[in-house]
Amino acid sequence: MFTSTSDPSTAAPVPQSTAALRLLDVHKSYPGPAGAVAALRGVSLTLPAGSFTAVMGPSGSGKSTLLHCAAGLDTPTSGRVIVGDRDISTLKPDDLTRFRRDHVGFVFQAYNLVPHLSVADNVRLPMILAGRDADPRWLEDLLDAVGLNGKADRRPGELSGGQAQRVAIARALYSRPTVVFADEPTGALDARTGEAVLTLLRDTAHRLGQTVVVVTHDAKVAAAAEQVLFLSDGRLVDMLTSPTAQAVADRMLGLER
Amino acid sequence: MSATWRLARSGAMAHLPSLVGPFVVLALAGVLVSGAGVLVESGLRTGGDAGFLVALASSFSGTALLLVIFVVSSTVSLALRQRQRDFALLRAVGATRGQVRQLVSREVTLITLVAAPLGGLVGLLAVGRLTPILESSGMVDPGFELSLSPVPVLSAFVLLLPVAYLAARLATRGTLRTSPTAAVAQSVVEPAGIGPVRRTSALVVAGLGLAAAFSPVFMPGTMGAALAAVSAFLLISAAALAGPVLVAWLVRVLSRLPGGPATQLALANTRGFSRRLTLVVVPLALALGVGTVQATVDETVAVAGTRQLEDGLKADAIVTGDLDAITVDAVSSAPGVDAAVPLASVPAQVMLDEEDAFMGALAWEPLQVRALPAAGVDGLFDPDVVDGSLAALNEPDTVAISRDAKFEAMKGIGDELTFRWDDGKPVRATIVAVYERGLGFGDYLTGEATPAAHGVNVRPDTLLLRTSDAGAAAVADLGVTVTDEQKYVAAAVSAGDGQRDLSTVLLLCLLVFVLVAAANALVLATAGRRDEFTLLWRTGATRRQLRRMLLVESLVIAVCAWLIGTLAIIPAVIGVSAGLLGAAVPPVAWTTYGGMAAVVAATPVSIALTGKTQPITSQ
Ligand SMILES: Nc1ncnc2c1ncn2[C@@H]1O[C@H](COP(=O)(O)OP(=O)(O)O)[C@@H](O)[C@H]1O
Ligand SMILES: [Mg+2]
Repeated sequence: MFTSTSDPSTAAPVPQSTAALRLLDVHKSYPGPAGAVAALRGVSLTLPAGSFTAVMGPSGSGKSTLLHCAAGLDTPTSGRVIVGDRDISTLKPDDLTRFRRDHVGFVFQAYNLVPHLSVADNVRLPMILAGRDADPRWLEDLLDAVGLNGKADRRPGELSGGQAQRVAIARALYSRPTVVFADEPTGALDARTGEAVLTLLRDTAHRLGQTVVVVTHDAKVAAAAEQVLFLSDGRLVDMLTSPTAQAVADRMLGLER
Repeated sequence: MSATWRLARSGAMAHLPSLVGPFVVLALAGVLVSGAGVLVESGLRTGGDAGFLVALASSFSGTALLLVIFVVSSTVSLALRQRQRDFALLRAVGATRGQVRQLVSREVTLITLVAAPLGGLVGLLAVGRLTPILESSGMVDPGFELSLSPVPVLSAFVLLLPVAYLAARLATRGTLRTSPTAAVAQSVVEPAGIGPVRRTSALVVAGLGLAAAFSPVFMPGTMGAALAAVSAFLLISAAALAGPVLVAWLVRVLSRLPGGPATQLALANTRGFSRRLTLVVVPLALALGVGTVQATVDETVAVAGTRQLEDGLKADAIVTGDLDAITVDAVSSAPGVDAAVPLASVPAQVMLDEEDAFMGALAWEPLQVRALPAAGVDGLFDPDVVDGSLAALNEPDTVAISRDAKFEAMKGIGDELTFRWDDGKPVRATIVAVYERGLGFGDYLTGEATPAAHGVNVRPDTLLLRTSDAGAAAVADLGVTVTDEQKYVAAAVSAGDGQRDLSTVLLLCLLVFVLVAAANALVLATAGRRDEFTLLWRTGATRRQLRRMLLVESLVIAVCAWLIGTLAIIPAVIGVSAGLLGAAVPPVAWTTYGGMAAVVAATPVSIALTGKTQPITSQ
């Protein structure tokens, strides 16, 4: 079975550190009708293990692209992405997938669940795909933690939007990954539900000592993070540690002008 | 149970409606394959004359198989398109590309496990309906019984499984190329253009198609014609490969048309989804192209055969019927008859290459050999000898072969072929002449001596006469059937009608299969768009506008299919007629073409008119 140490040939050696995620000068451009469109223009950052980071920025500033590259869902045009102590920018596609299964959790804005699989199967999906049988106790604990006890056999169609996002969060946490990414996980929810879902993500991650990166538009949500990164036009332009909602909102206003 | 099997099963269960399409197509393919199988098997078991049946059924199976592969893969691909998001999501949560491929293959395998044997059984039972037409075409003796065994059903299954599997693999290629983040993309837009592999394949297949179309110019007779018949299939395959580019181009041309909002919407849709459009256009184009080309080739071969007969017969009157020696003598010595040339027709089997012997009964091609009289043909019968001489046929164990047969056997004067005459013993015969008019006079001529040497009672069935009108009248007074050359040729040509009817029926079976697949593709393509309709409806499109939009789209589909199908026909039509008839107006099978064109237009339009445009209004 593939583990983070079993196959050193596919990854460059990376100095040991306590960082959960490091990006080194990451560039990403997409082919467009009129030449390449640069979505990321040299992003470098280091996130300590167990940290909770919010990413903010105007629409089109490259937040999703940043998360996709950092999570190994997309490959950067240049630069390095290091998750834990593994440089994932050099992995072959299938090796990268196997790595993601174990070390990366991802919550999308919507359409997170396979409609024909039960809640339990959706949560266990990465492990089912890894061919590993899971620990039913852990599944139960996790569903409990996200407030879905007793709903393990439901189908996604029978859940509300907030419940569906909780399932997605449970799935992202299930493999006890090195980093959990969430791209506007509450974007499709009303304000109250959204807040509840994010609080849940933060608290559960905290209890498990999980590293979390979340893209959000909500200054209040961002204020609950340990640090906030501001992205504009594909560049990391600002950063706040121990943010307040007011400070976050002020910075955002500055960016959008 | 492994994880992938479990996912495959639950995926298949959840998407049953969209899998009905592949199921139906696979089941129909099962019907075709097992039906053809029954014919081949019956032919093999019966022996004797049923060899014709084997030959026909084998060539039918070949065409059927090509179509099955083509149609199954496009249906599977269409059914899977709707689930690209699901697959992308699976990849996003950690499914490797291999796992997605496996998942799809297994789902398709599951369907094939049920559909192929089911269709196979139906084919086994349905093929019995062909018995009357088999008898009337003279392919089999009256009272013929098909041999029914589980083998054809089994072979349908064994054949279709890899086809479906391959189709699934091909269909997932596209899905695997898109990034897993497509799962969360706001809208699924198709990639524009096609990859280099696909482009190259399209060009290569188109080149092969053109080469096949013009092969009658270089290859004599039926061989070239058969190859040309395949050309429409190849050209449309090329069109399918180049489809997205080709259809996008066609639609761009069409979209200059003026029209209301529904029309503009429809044209925008067809522009944005040229891949989906290709998948529905191609089966329709295939039905039009393959149907017309096959019918045209058959017609051209018949015309060419007629012309060769007309050119090669120089008789003033022709006596037909079962003629014994006394009758032949009486006619020959009738007043006014200057010359009488008796011709016989002898059943035989030929093996072109002794290395084929391992194929058993399949190595022997059954045929009727014309036997010429020892006294020569006196200029009344001219097969247009291009090499050697017919006079040499008086030696036993000699044959003359047509250029067509020469090409197929790849042998020449002085080489040997193996025949089986009445006694069934293989004997060799030396080739002593090569002639041109094989379509009119058959591929093999021999002297009476050869079959007689192997125990055949050579009995003339035709007597060519050089005579005056009065002489012909005198012969008629003897109580035999006398016709003129024109009537004789007409009768000879219509003798092949039974076989042509049979090929028409078989061709119809294939066309029905392709059309069902086309209809299927259309229904699938519409069914996959309910979200889109809902969105449009919420944005303010009226039901009427949605329906209009679908109607315009269906017209675009029909026009594209018609254009592609027609363009694919042209090279073959020109090639066949140039090869077989020389410079002449190509005899296009207009009835077939018109009929198929009407069906091609009616299919998408009627589906658009009856299809569900209902948006999901709840929630
Ligand atoms: N798949 C893609 N193809 C082409 N351009 C893209 C693609 N994804 C994103 N982009 C472009 O990259 C830029 C950043 O996009 P994104 O990361 O989605 O921004 P954000 O999430 O901050 O709104 C935008 O200009 C967007 O148009
Ligand atoms: Mg985004």
